[in-house]
Amino acid sequence: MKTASARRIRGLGGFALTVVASALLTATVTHADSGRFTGLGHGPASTSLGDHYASYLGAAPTSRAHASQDIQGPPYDGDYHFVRIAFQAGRRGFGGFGRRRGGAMWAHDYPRADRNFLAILDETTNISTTRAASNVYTFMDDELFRHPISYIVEPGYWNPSDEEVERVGEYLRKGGFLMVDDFRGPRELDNLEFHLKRALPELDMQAVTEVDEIFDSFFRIVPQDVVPPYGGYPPAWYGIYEDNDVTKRLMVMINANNDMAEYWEFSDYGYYPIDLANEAYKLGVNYVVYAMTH
Amino acid sequence: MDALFEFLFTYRDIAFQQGDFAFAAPGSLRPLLGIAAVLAASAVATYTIARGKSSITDRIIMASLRVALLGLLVFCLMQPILRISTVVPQQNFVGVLIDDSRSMSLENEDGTQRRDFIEEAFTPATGSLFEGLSDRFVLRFFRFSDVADRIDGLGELTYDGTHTNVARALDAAREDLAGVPLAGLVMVSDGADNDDRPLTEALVPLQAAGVPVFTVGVGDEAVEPDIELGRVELPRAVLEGSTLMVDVVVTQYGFGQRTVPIVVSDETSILAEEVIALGPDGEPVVARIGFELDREGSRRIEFQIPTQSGERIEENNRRTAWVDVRGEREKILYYEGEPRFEVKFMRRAVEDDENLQLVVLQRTAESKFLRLSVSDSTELAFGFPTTREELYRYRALVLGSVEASFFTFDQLQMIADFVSVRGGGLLFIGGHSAFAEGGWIGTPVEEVLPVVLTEPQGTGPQGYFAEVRVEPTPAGLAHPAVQLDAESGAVTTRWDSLPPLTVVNPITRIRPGATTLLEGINTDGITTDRQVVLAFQRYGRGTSIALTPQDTWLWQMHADVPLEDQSHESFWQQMLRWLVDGVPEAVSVATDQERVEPGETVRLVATISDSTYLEVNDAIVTATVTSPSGVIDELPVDWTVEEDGEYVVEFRPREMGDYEIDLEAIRGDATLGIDQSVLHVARSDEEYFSSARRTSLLQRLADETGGRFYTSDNTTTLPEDISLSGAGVTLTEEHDLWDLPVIFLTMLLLMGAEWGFRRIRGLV
Repeated sequence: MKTASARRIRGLGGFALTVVASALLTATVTHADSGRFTGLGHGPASTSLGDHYASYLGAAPTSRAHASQDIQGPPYDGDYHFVRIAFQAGRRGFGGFGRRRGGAMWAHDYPRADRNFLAILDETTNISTTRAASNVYTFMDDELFRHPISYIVEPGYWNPSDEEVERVGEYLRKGGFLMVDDFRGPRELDNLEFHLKRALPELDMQAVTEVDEIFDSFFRIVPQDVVPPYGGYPPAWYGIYEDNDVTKRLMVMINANNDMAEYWEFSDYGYYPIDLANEAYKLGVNYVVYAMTH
Repeated sequence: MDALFEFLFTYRDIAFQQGDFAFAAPGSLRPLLGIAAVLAASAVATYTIARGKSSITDRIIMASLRVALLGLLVFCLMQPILRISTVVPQQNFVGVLIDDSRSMSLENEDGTQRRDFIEEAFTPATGSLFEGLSDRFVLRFFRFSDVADRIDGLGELTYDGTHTNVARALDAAREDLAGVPLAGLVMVSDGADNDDRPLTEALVPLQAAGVPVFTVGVGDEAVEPDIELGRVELPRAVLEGSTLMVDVVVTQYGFGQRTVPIVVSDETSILAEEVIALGPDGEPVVARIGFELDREGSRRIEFQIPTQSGERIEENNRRTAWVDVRGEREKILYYEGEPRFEVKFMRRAVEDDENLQLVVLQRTAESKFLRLSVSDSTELAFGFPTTREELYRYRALVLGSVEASFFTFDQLQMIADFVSVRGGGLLFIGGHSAFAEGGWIGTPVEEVLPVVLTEPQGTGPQGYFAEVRVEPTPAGLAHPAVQLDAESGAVTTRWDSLPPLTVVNPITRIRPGATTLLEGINTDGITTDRQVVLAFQRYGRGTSIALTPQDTWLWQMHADVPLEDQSHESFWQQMLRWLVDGVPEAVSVATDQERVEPGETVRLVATISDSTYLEVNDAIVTATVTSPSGVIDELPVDWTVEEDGEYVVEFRPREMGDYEIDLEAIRGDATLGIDQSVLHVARSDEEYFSSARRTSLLQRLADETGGRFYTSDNTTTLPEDISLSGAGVTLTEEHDLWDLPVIFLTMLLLMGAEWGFRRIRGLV
């Protein structure tokens, strides 16, 4: 029986995070790639980089070949990198071939959300990271295995091949941690659960309660207070625990009916209330700290 | 040779060695010397004057022969004598010390036993030596093995002693015969002494008392053919689930270089089996055998080589040792200055190890900490320990990427003391804020580290970064911490299969006295300096280890590492177990020997410290000793005075089996601590090891005391030699030497030589 406990000794007072976020992200925007802003909402902020990668993914990733070194982000240096999973939205399963025009499903909120989040993570924690850019890998990329934390969006349209599914299972069993974000509705959740079950047949998706250590690893978070930026479904948190044991580590953390990257992407634009954006950043910081220690 | 000597010189060589030479001619020797000079001068003058047809060379040779003859004559006129002190018959004692150990029952090459000589030589009335000795001396017999005591006859010999203690035997005989005139001691033994006590301690009193020791060596000098499983050393206590790497020394005679298996087993199962190639005759080979001990309790470990056909001694093919396998949960504090994956993967690697509790204090932001696997809500509530009591509760400390300036000076000193005073293990892991890059140069911790820190290199804003492929050094291949749970011989292959790691702390040198177990080869193909990856050194009472890579977790996570590969888990389990191995408790107890014979005295040694590991001299210490049959003895353990914190008591176990020892130390109203130990009481097979006759020891014994060494087939002169030793009550005898055959023959030789020379040269 593991006797793990996680207690915060001293929290950051109030929400200095708010102030930090505003100041930092203003700076971040000035440095960001001139991404094509498609408006507030769920639209993918396609960039030249994203388009490049999306077009590459027009071919099914059936081998471990890297896409192209120049679009995968900064090289491995031992520090934490924000890693986004790229995938081809498929025709099979419950998905479809993308429900929106204008970009790949995996690239929603990319790259502004990633960069903004890295800036906040760098300022609020001791984690050594790079703020320059995130990395983009498919599950077939060997390089992914040098980054034990990864992030995937729009899993309702995720339709991995058998080979990819096998790699997902290997990644998670070895010690990888997958954050799942930006989807809503039971149909998309079912698609995600279906493919995770293919990857980890012996493990079940189950609810993550508010007393879980992941909500207390850096900030104290009350999950019920986290408001989704849009959509008509109530937010929910699911996860897959090692050995289906809630006292063991979370291998997959799922933000159902939510989109924290949406807040990250536009937190410096003033479209969303600062308090709500803060909660989204807090969730991300907690997930990363948790995954680096559990 | 001895007979020829005795024919020429009338007396045996020992008489000349022991005796004094003198001239017995009355009055002064000067007139005789004067006459000799005149005769010599006249002889020379005669040869000088009467030249004839001789050359000068002829005359010199003839004059020399004549002068030598005259000199020999004058020597005889001076009446040379030999003064010898001989013992007065039946007024002196001789102690006969007989080896009563098991090795005396071993067979010689001719099929007889070593003990047969005892019967043959010392049986009253018929024994070959008994008669000669008893005619001259009063005999006192002693037997010796583990102990030495006086016996009245050979019937009391059992040849069952499990040790041969020569020094103790000499002491006992000397003390027993202290009040009587002692002509000497006779020791009959194979010389296979297996006690640690220096022989010199027993020789000095004998030399001072002038007691010669005459040694008789029995048995063969080489036991052949035979295989002997020599030294095997195991730790007294290990943590449950630990892997031990044990060196086994094997020596053989007469079996060439054949291969034999070594089987390691405990009470219930075979733990390991290793096939080794034997070396040339008499040359020991060392086999390294690894096995895991996964069951708590006192374990009897047996190492055995199956008996080979024709072997002389079977008993020396096995060795037995005991290991106390402890099921305790050892607490290790891991302080990490920045969240990083080493924490996650190290925790995962040891989470199933019930004997390790890895308490993590993770600094997640400035002055913000995450505590993991703590025992209760108060543990580390105020961050890194600020008192020695708090820090010393842990048996090992792991420091991750944390800058030295985080700690106060007192905390830095405390970390150094944690190793040197408390005896804890310190593991320093590479990272952005570790080693020199973390400002550790010049701190009290720097000298604790096994590696040499140099000022950080200015290689750009990102600092130093290199990728290294890790491989074990020769020392590493033999170290249990880096075996990766691989089969013997496959360790190097396993290391070769692991992906490279990265380092941000360039470290290429270790301190004198430190050992490198792993080193890294830079994958850039340019850098030739090898990175020190894993090194350690003993520092004070503890051990410090440096592990310089920042991402050993790649050995678990990397795409090239198969999912089922356990290298990372094995590495960290062994690493952390090594870190806590041998870390002392504040209160500890141990016996001076792990196995004793029934009735043998055991020394129980306890070390008592307080919670800051300062030695305590005023504690009340009690040892509760429970015998195998359940008899309980409470023994007060007293401070030795000589050593701070050391308490000692002696006792003699009587029963065969395991004695349980529970020790408690109390100071005032507070209990300082408790500890347990186990003493094994069993018969020893030590007599069957190194059991060939040790002539060198017996020879030295005789030489240093003025005695002589004999083999069992050459003891006829022993009684007379003792008579001539000069020890005891003696008479001084004077023996003329002028009539020695050697003098007469020399005279004839000189005269004949001169005559022959003249004939050859035509000078007659």
